[in-house]
Amino acid sequence: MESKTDVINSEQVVISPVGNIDFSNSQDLKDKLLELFKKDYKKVILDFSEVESIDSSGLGKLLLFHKKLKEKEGKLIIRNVESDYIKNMFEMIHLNKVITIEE
Amino acid sequence: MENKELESQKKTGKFHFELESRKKAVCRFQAVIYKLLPNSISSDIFAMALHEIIANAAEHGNQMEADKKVIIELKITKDSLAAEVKDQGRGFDWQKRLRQEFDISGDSERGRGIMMTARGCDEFYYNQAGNKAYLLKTIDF
Repeated sequence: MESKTDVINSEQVVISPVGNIDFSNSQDLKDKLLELFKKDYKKVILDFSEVESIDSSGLGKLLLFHKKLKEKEGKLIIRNVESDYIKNMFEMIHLNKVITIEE
Repeated sequence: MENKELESQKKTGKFHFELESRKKAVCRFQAVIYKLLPNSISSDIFAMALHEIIANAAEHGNQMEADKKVIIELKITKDSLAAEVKDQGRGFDWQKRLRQEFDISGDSERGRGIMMTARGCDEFYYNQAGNKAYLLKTIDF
Protein backbone atom coordinates (compact mmCIF):
# COMPACT_ATOMS: atom_id res chain seq x y z
CA MET A 1 0.00 0.00 0.00
CA GLU A 2 1.31 3.38 -1.00
CA SER A 3 1.46 6.17 1.59
CA LYS A 4 3.13 9.51 2.11
CA THR A 5 4.66 10.61 5.42
CA ASP A 6 5.05 14.28 6.38
CA VAL A 7 6.90 15.03 9.58
CA ILE A 8 5.55 18.25 11.13
CA ASN A 9 7.95 18.29 14.10
CA SER A 10 9.39 15.86 16.65
CA GLU A 11 5.92 15.42 18.18
CA GLN A 12 3.66 15.27 15.13
CA VAL A 13 3.50 13.37 11.89
CA VAL A 14 0.95 13.07 9.08
CA ILE A 15 0.53 9.85 7.10
CA SER A 16 -1.53 9.86 3.91
CA PRO A 17 -2.38 6.36 2.65
CA VAL A 18 -3.59 6.01 -0.94
CA GLY A 19 -6.31 3.70 -2.34
CA ASN A 20 -7.88 0.81 -0.46
CA ILE A 21 -6.85 -0.38 2.97
CA ASP A 22 -7.93 -4.00 3.07
CA PHE A 23 -6.82 -7.41 4.18
CA SER A 24 -4.42 -7.73 1.23
CA ASN A 25 -2.32 -4.76 2.38
CA SER A 26 -3.29 -3.70 5.91
CA GLN A 27 -0.11 -5.29 7.25
CA ASP A 28 1.88 -2.61 5.35
CA LEU A 29 -0.04 0.07 7.21
CA LYS A 30 0.56 -1.69 10.51
CA ASP A 31 4.31 -1.82 9.84
CA LYS A 32 4.31 1.87 8.92
CA LEU A 33 2.41 2.82 12.07
CA LEU A 34 4.68 0.71 14.29
CA GLU A 35 7.72 2.39 12.76
CA LEU A 36 6.25 5.78 13.77
CA PHE A 37 5.34 4.43 17.18
CA LYS A 38 8.98 3.56 17.81
CA LYS A 39 9.97 7.13 16.91
CA ASP A 40 7.81 8.39 19.78
CA TYR A 41 5.52 10.76 17.92
CA LYS A 42 2.79 11.90 20.27
CA LYS A 43 0.30 12.98 17.65
CA VAL A 44 -0.21 10.88 14.55
CA ILE A 45 -2.59 12.27 11.93
CA LEU A 46 -3.97 9.96 9.26
CA ASP A 47 -5.02 11.96 6.24
CA PHE A 48 -7.76 9.96 4.52
CA SER A 49 -8.28 12.30 1.56
CA GLU A 50 -6.93 9.69 -0.88
CA VAL A 51 -8.29 6.58 0.83
CA GLU A 52 -11.15 4.99 -1.11
CA SER A 53 -12.14 2.16 1.19
CA ILE A 54 -11.15 0.37 4.38
CA ASP A 55 -12.26 -2.99 5.77
CA SER A 56 -12.31 -4.54 9.25
CA SER A 57 -8.74 -5.71 8.79
CA GLY A 58 -7.54 -2.14 8.20
CA LEU A 59 -9.76 -0.85 10.96
CA GLY A 60 -8.26 -3.38 13.37
CA LYS A 61 -4.80 -1.99 12.69
CA LEU A 62 -5.97 1.58 13.35
CA LEU A 63 -7.67 0.61 16.60
CA LEU A 64 -4.64 -1.31 17.80
CA PHE A 65 -2.37 1.64 17.03
CA HIS A 66 -4.81 4.07 18.67
CA LYS A 67 -4.67 1.97 21.84
CA LYS A 68 -0.87 1.75 21.86
CA LEU A 69 -0.53 5.52 21.34
CA LYS A 70 -3.07 6.29 24.04
CA GLU A 71 -1.14 4.14 26.51
CA LYS A 72 1.79 6.52 26.21
CA GLU A 73 -0.35 9.67 26.22
CA GLY A 74 -0.32 10.01 22.46
CA LYS A 75 -3.21 10.57 20.09
CA LEU A 76 -4.36 9.27 16.72
CA ILE A 77 -6.49 11.55 14.57
CA ILE A 78 -8.23 10.71 11.31
CA ARG A 79 -8.67 13.72 9.05
CA ASN A 80 -10.22 14.56 5.66
CA VAL A 81 -12.42 11.53 5.04
CA GLU A 82 -13.65 12.12 1.49
CA SER A 83 -15.10 8.74 0.54
CA ASP A 84 -18.83 8.32 1.22
CA TYR A 85 -18.21 4.60 1.58
CA ILE A 86 -15.83 5.22 4.49
CA LYS A 87 -18.06 7.90 6.02
CA ASN A 88 -20.99 5.46 6.05
CA MET A 89 -18.88 2.74 7.61
CA PHE A 90 -17.43 4.96 10.34
CA GLU A 91 -20.90 6.24 11.14
CA MET A 92 -22.36 2.73 11.32
CA ILE A 93 -19.77 1.55 13.83
CA HIS A 94 -19.61 4.89 15.71
CA LEU A 95 -15.86 5.07 15.25
CA ASN A 96 -15.90 8.73 16.31
CA LYS A 97 -16.61 7.58 19.88
CA VAL A 98 -13.23 5.86 19.93
CA ILE A 99 -10.95 7.75 17.53
CA THR A 100 -11.02 11.50 16.90
CA ILE A 101 -12.28 12.18 13.38
CA GLU A 102 -11.75 15.71 12.10
CA GLU A 103 -13.32 17.31 9.04
CA MET B 1 -16.09 -13.88 -15.35
CA GLU B 2 -16.53 -13.13 -19.04
CA ASN B 3 -18.13 -9.75 -19.71
CA LYS B 4 -20.79 -11.34 -21.89
CA GLU B 5 -21.84 -13.66 -19.10
CA LEU B 6 -21.94 -10.81 -16.62
CA GLU B 7 -24.11 -8.75 -18.98
CA SER B 8 -26.63 -11.59 -19.32
CA GLN B 9 -26.74 -12.03 -15.54
CA LYS B 10 -27.42 -8.31 -15.14
CA LYS B 11 -30.73 -8.79 -16.95
CA THR B 12 -31.95 -11.27 -14.36
CA GLY B 13 -30.35 -9.60 -11.35
CA LYS B 14 -28.94 -12.98 -10.34
CA PHE B 15 -25.18 -13.48 -10.30
CA HIS B 16 -22.92 -16.43 -9.65
CA PHE B 17 -19.22 -16.05 -8.81
CA GLU B 18 -16.47 -18.43 -7.81
CA LEU B 19 -13.38 -16.92 -6.24
CA GLU B 20 -9.99 -18.39 -5.47
CA SER B 21 -9.03 -18.09 -1.83
CA ARG B 22 -6.38 -15.45 -2.43
CA LYS B 23 -6.26 -12.09 -0.69
CA LYS B 24 -5.90 -10.11 -3.90
CA ALA B 25 -8.77 -11.94 -5.62
CA VAL B 26 -11.04 -11.23 -2.65
CA CYS B 27 -10.09 -7.56 -2.50
CA ARG B 28 -10.42 -7.04 -6.27
CA PHE B 29 -13.87 -8.62 -6.14
CA GLN B 30 -15.09 -5.80 -3.91
CA ALA B 31 -14.81 -3.42 -6.88
CA VAL B 32 -16.80 -5.82 -9.10
CA ILE B 33 -19.64 -5.96 -6.57
CA TYR B 34 -19.57 -2.22 -6.00
CA LYS B 35 -20.15 -1.58 -9.72
CA LEU B 36 -23.16 -3.92 -9.84
CA LEU B 37 -25.04 -2.41 -6.90
CA PRO B 38 -27.36 0.57 -7.20
CA ASN B 39 -26.05 3.86 -5.87
CA SER B 40 -27.28 4.06 -2.26
CA ILE B 41 -26.00 4.08 1.30
CA SER B 42 -27.56 0.61 1.72
CA SER B 43 -25.41 -0.63 -1.16
CA ASP B 44 -22.22 0.72 0.40
CA ILE B 45 -22.99 -1.04 3.66
CA PHE B 46 -24.01 -4.26 1.90
CA ALA B 47 -20.80 -4.22 -0.19
CA MET B 48 -18.76 -3.76 2.96
CA ALA B 49 -20.59 -6.61 4.75
CA LEU B 50 -20.25 -8.94 1.77
CA HIS B 51 -16.52 -8.24 1.54
CA GLU B 52 -16.10 -9.09 5.24
CA ILE B 53 -17.93 -12.40 4.88
CA ILE B 54 -16.04 -13.37 1.71
CA ALA B 55 -12.72 -12.49 3.39
CA ASN B 56 -13.68 -14.66 6.39
CA ALA B 57 -14.70 -17.52 4.08
CA ALA B 58 -11.34 -17.41 2.26
CA GLU B 59 -9.22 -16.94 5.34
CA HIS B 60 -10.91 -18.90 8.13
CA GLY B 61 -13.07 -21.27 6.07
CA ASN B 62 -10.75 -22.17 3.20
CA GLN B 63 -7.57 -21.38 5.19
CA MET B 64 -6.28 -19.38 2.19
CA GLU B 65 -5.80 -22.59 0.19
CA ALA B 66 -6.00 -21.10 -3.31
CA ASP B 67 -7.61 -24.16 -4.93
CA LYS B 68 -10.52 -23.99 -2.50
CA LYS B 69 -13.25 -21.72 -3.79
CA VAL B 70 -15.56 -19.18 -2.24
CA ILE B 71 -18.87 -19.44 -4.07
CA ILE B 72 -21.13 -16.40 -4.14
CA GLU B 73 -24.74 -16.11 -5.28
CA LEU B 74 -25.94 -12.53 -5.48
CA LYS B 75 -29.47 -11.33 -6.09
CA ILE B 76 -30.26 -7.69 -6.77
CA THR B 77 -33.88 -6.51 -6.92
CA LYS B 78 -35.25 -2.99 -6.81
CA ASP B 79 -35.98 -3.36 -3.08
CA SER B 80 -33.26 -5.56 -1.73
CA LEU B 81 -29.76 -7.00 -1.98
CA ALA B 82 -29.17 -10.61 -1.03
CA ALA B 83 -26.16 -12.91 -1.08
CA GLU B 84 -25.18 -16.41 -0.19
CA VAL B 85 -21.47 -17.06 0.51
CA LYS B 86 -20.24 -20.64 0.71
CA ASP B 87 -16.76 -21.88 1.53
CA GLN B 88 -15.18 -25.33 1.52
CA GLY B 89 -14.12 -25.31 5.15
CA ARG B 90 -15.51 -27.07 8.19
CA GLY B 91 -17.51 -24.11 9.45
CA PHE B 92 -17.46 -22.46 12.88
CA ASP B 93 -19.70 -21.67 15.83
CA TRP B 94 -21.19 -18.53 14.31
CA GLN B 95 -23.96 -18.18 16.89
CA LYS B 96 -21.39 -17.91 19.65
CA ARG B 97 -19.58 -15.19 17.70
CA LEU B 98 -22.77 -13.25 17.13
CA ARG B 99 -23.68 -13.36 20.80
CA GLN B 100 -20.58 -11.34 21.60
CA GLU B 101 -21.40 -7.74 22.27
CA PHE B 102 -20.60 -5.26 19.53
CA ASP B 103 -17.56 -3.46 20.85
CA ILE B 104 -15.57 -1.72 18.18
CA SER B 105 -12.82 -0.61 20.56
CA GLY B 106 -12.06 -4.12 21.86
CA ASP B 107 -8.46 -5.24 22.26
CA SER B 108 -8.34 -7.67 19.37
CA GLU B 109 -6.88 -6.58 16.06
CA ARG B 110 -9.30 -8.95 14.32
CA GLY B 111 -12.85 -10.22 14.60
CA ARG B 112 -14.91 -7.12 13.87
CA GLY B 113 -16.08 -8.20 10.41
CA ILE B 114 -18.88 -10.49 11.58
CA MET B 115 -20.16 -7.98 14.11
CA MET B 116 -20.08 -5.21 11.50
CA THR B 117 -22.01 -7.41 9.08
CA ALA B 118 -24.63 -8.20 11.71
CA ARG B 119 -25.04 -4.51 12.40
CA GLY B 120 -25.16 -3.51 8.73
CA CYS B 121 -27.55 -6.15 7.33
CA ASP B 122 -31.26 -6.67 7.94
CA GLU B 123 -30.78 -10.43 7.96
CA PHE B 124 -27.54 -12.31 8.53
CA TYR B 125 -27.12 -15.94 9.49
CA TYR B 126 -25.19 -19.11 8.58
CA ASN B 127 -26.23 -22.68 7.94
CA GLN B 128 -25.87 -25.02 10.89
CA ALA B 129 -22.31 -26.04 10.00
CA GLY B 130 -21.19 -22.42 9.64
CA ASN B 131 -19.77 -22.61 6.12
CA LYS B 132 -22.56 -20.93 4.21
CA ALA B 133 -23.67 -17.40 5.05
CA TYR B 134 -26.86 -15.55 4.07
CA LEU B 135 -27.02 -11.77 3.94
CA LEU B 136 -29.97 -9.55 3.15
CA LYS B 137 -30.27 -5.80 3.08
CA THR B 138 -33.29 -3.73 2.14
CA ILE B 139 -32.46 -0.84 -0.16
CA ASP B 140 -33.21 2.45 1.51
CA PHE B 141 -32.43 5.32 -0.84
